[in-house]
Formats: sequence, C-alpha cells, structure tokens
Amino acid sequence: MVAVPEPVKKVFEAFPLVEQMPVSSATPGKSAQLEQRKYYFTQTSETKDLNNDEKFTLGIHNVIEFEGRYIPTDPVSLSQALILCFRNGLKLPTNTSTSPTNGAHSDHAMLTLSYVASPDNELPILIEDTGSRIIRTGTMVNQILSNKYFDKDIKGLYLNQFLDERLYDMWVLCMLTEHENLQVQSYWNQTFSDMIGSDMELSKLFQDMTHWSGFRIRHAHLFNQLKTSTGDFWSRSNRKLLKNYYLTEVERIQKKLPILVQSVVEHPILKLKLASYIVIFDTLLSETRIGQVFHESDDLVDARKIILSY
Amino acid sequence: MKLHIWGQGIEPSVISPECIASAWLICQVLDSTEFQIVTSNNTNISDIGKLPVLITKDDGKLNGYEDIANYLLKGDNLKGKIIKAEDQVLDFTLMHFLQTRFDALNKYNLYGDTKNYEIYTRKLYPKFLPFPMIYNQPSKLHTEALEQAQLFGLGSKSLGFLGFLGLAKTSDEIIPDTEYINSSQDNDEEEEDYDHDDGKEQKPISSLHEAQLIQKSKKKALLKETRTSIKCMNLLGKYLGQLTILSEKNEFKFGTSERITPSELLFLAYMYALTYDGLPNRFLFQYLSTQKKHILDSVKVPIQDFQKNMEFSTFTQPSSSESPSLWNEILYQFNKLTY
Repeated sequence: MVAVPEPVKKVFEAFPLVEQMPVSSATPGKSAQLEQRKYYFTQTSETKDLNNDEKFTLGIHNVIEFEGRYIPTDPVSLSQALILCFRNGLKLPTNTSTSPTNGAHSDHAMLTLSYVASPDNELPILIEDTGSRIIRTGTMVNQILSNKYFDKDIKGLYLNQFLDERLYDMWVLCMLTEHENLQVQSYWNQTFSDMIGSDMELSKLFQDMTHWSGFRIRHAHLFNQLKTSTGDFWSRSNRKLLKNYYLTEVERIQKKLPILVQSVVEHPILKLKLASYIVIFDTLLSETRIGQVFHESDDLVDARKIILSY
Repeated sequence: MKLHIWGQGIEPSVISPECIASAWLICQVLDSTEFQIVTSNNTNISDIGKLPVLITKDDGKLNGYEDIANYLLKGDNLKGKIIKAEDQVLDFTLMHFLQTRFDALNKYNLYGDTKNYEIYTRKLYPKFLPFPMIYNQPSKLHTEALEQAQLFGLGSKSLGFLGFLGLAKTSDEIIPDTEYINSSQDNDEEEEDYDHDDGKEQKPISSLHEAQLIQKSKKKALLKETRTSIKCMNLLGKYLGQLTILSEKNEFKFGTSERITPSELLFLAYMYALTYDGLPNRFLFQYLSTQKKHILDSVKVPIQDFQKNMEFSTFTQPSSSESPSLWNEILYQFNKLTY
C-alpha cells in the first residue's frame, strides 16, 4: 500500500466527498400544469399488468376530440397510440378517463409536447419509465415494430414501408402546400408558443417539417432550386415543384386506395396504420385535395369503426 | 411520343436506373416508329424535377417510371415480354422498396465510393451537361446522393461538437491540397526565401510531420470507407434475401419467367446499375458473384435481352430548347420557357 501524502489527505478530510441526491425541481404548480397536458389511456379488463412502476408516455403535438375520445392530431401519433392500445389492451383516452381520480384511467398517457423537445425534432416520441427512463423516437418505434411483425412476412414489410413513407409524405406535402386552407393552429399545442399563427412561427414550423422523417433528403429533387434570401422552402420554384409533386401523389394514392384497404384487412398493425391516415385526412384535412379523396372513399366507415373500437 | 432520360448518345445512364427501366419498357411495348428517346438530361422538363419523363402524343406529361409504366401497359394486346402485374399491391409496394432501398445502394455505389465517384461518376457530367452548367449541378447531386445513402446507414453522419445546432458539416469533407501548410504546390523559390530569413518565418509544422499526419488520416478514411462498403454489401444481401423469400412463394421471379412485371423490370435495371461493368470498383459485383451467384446468373440473361432489344435508332439529341443550357435555365427561371 502506498501511503497517501499528508497534504492530499488533509484536503480530502476537510472536504468529505458526499454524493448529493438531485433536488426535485417540481413544484405543485408545475406538476398540475403537466397533469393538464396528460391524457390517460382507459383501462380495460384486458389491460396487461406491467410492473407497478413501469409506465409509458407518448409525446404528441396536440389532441382533438373524436366521438368522445381524444385522438392525436397527426396520423403517425394516432397510429402509434392505437398500436400501444392494441398491444397493451388499453382504450383511447376519453373525457372521463383523463381525470386521475377516476378508476378507469391507466398509468399510461399521451402528453402534448412541443416538437423541439424531441431528440430528433419530431414527434411522436415514446417515453418509457421502467425505473430508468428510455426515450424512443418515432422512427425507432417503427423499426422495432417492423422487426417484430414483418420479419418473415415480406409482403407485409413492403406494405408497411409504403404506408410509413408514402402516406406520411402525403401528410407532410399536404401540410406544406395547402396550409392556407387549414386551421393549422389547432394541430399544435398553444402552450408552447402563443405566436403560432404568426407568419414567422409558421415559416419556422414548415421549414422544420421538411426535415421530418428525412422528407427533404428523400425528395431532394423538390428542393433543388436556387436559394433565396427568405429561405429555400418559400422560394417560388420550390413551391411549384412541391405542389406538382403533391398533385401527382394525390392521383397515385387515389388509384391505390381501394386495393390498399383490401390488402391490410388481415393484418392488425397495418389496419390500424391505414385507418389512422384515413381518419386524420378525413376529419382534420377535409378541406384539402387529399382530404376530398379520402372523404369520397367508401372505406371511411370501416376506418372510423376501427378507431372507435379503441 | 418522347421519353426524356439521363444518358449520353445511345446509352441511358446508370445514375438513374428508373430511366434505364423506362427505356427498356418503351422499346418492348411500342414500335420504334412511335417514339423517340431523348437523352436530354434536363430535369426542368419534369413537373417534379426528376427524370424520366414521357411526353405523349397529345402533349400529356408523365413523370417517373411508375406513371410511365402504368400508361404504357394500359392496353390489353401488348407486345413484348412485359405485362401488368396481377398482384397490384405487391407491384407498387415493391416498386417503392426498390426506389428507396436499392436507390440508396446505387447512390452509394456511384457517389459514395471514392474510386467510382472520382474515376467514373464525376466524369459523366461534362458529357451530360453543356458549359457552364457542369459546375453547380454535379456537386449538389453528390451531396444529395450521400445524404440519401446515409438515411439507410451507408456512410457516417458524425454530428460533431456542434451537431445539435445543425452547424457541423459531415466529417467526410475533403481538404484540398492547397490548404495544407507544407503544400506540394509551394514552389521552390518560396522555400529558399524562408531559408534566407534565418528561421524567422518558420512553418508551424515540419513537412515530414505533416506528411505523416496526412497519411494517417488518409488511412483512417480508407478504413472507414471499407467499413461502409461492407455495410453496403450486407444491405444488398439482406434485401436480396427478402426477395428470395418472396421468390420461394413464387411471387417474385428475379426476371426469369416468360412474363415480367414492371417492378421486376425495375429490379433488373437496378441490378444492371449495381453490377455495371464500366465502374472501376465493382465491389458489389464481386460480392454477388461469390455470395449470390444464382441471383446474378438468373438476372444476366434478361438484362442482356433488354439491352439487345433497345432500339438505338430511336435515340436522339435534345433540341435547342430541351438542352440543359445556361440560357434555357435562365429563361426557365423567369417563366419565359415552359415545357
């Protein structure tokens, strides 16, 4: 044993090393505010029992009321909420289940967040509390699902990729090109930004949105035009290209919709995903071109039924 | 009818397998008197900024392989080997799969691999585009291609210290030779000057030391690229494995059957591009010939067939307004020229 030099020993004895526990910064007011933004899933008899302290929270943009239930305002969050319900035997949050005093509410919840809170700047994210906290981004969750359900089912895998990418792009395209016709404000939670609705804020939002799920990288040819001082998304020629691509895609999806609906019937995960897109396009984006396509489709009734069964 | 594609002379270019597939398809389905293939290389012709584009007799415009295939295969009595798919859902989801996953592999093969890019791909653009358009477009396409390959894990996206602010660039930035302190471009006279100054303006690093550092970093870059190339081969193996599962159920035939669906044709075009014999570094070809010999053998015959059946008489040069020249670009930007 090497003896500790006297001066060093003195210093460490004078300042004993004690590990300080983190001080909770939660005040009653803050937790109340957090609680307000939480929408608890409803418990059923089939709800899987997780360990007592294990719970998950799905971070989403905002919620709307849909036939007595709260559903997220974007299709990906909705499909992930439904898949969580499906896998854990839960039901969507309702008016009564949101208050924590009610017995029907589960530990799991949806929480409205700002998209900048997410590690990759996009929602949804899944926050898992299992003693320690794990945050998974939407892309990671999709990857896990794809590995779990489509490892051997290659046709399903391709269909899953198609829904995750082409229909998602459809939603982004619709937002980017037709937002003038929409009440966009209601899709994002106002708590984080009173400014939403102002041109500056929207411009920032749409600029960020072009990066979600690699949209801009995958469709680099749509953003290929000369840059302008106001940021390239708003340049005239880029908007023209975006609009043209949007219209072409609407036509393509319109032709495919009936056979798409038929082909997902047997697969629970794909069925939930497609139903989410149909319902979001129809209820929130009914004024838009793609909304019209989905509105005229006969498959709407089925999609609503699927959502209402949760 | 006019089909606009990427290419030069009578050869559709491997930078766009969709263009190759469209050219094969139109040569199979129509008589050579009915159409022209224009190697215009002008993306402004397209509504969505991407070739191929088919301009029909009644001036309709079809953008992209998918729409072109749907249009050309509309009739019932088709000549040639290509038919409409029975399983429509599989056909279009497979096409989406090819256009994203295989496209990333192709992009990495052509742009990400240094040897292929510097010896082959970069030298294509002077043939495709007139002066001075050769300067801007290619570097943009290069960056885009690398980013697209990165989405599927090919190439590293090091975010660096300021990565979260979006300020840091990718780590693969190339430092030009002139930026080095002991640059080889320095002429001897200068060095003599330094000597006369009696060491007052000594360089901060000796040339031997710098040469060692550069060599080290080059070795590192080489290792990194090898790793990515292996990843690329792995991915190709994985994707082909998925298609093999499909083929076991007789839902996909690697182009061996009498009748070929549009998605299979696109698959063949991608295989043609990935194993193209004009490339200096054919690592994917070597991988396939050792690991997936049966697939390589089965796609060889149909690819040769389609190449042989290409009607070379239908290839034309772009007219003056269709060519991607600077003048046309300016007119296009100011809305004086519409396609």
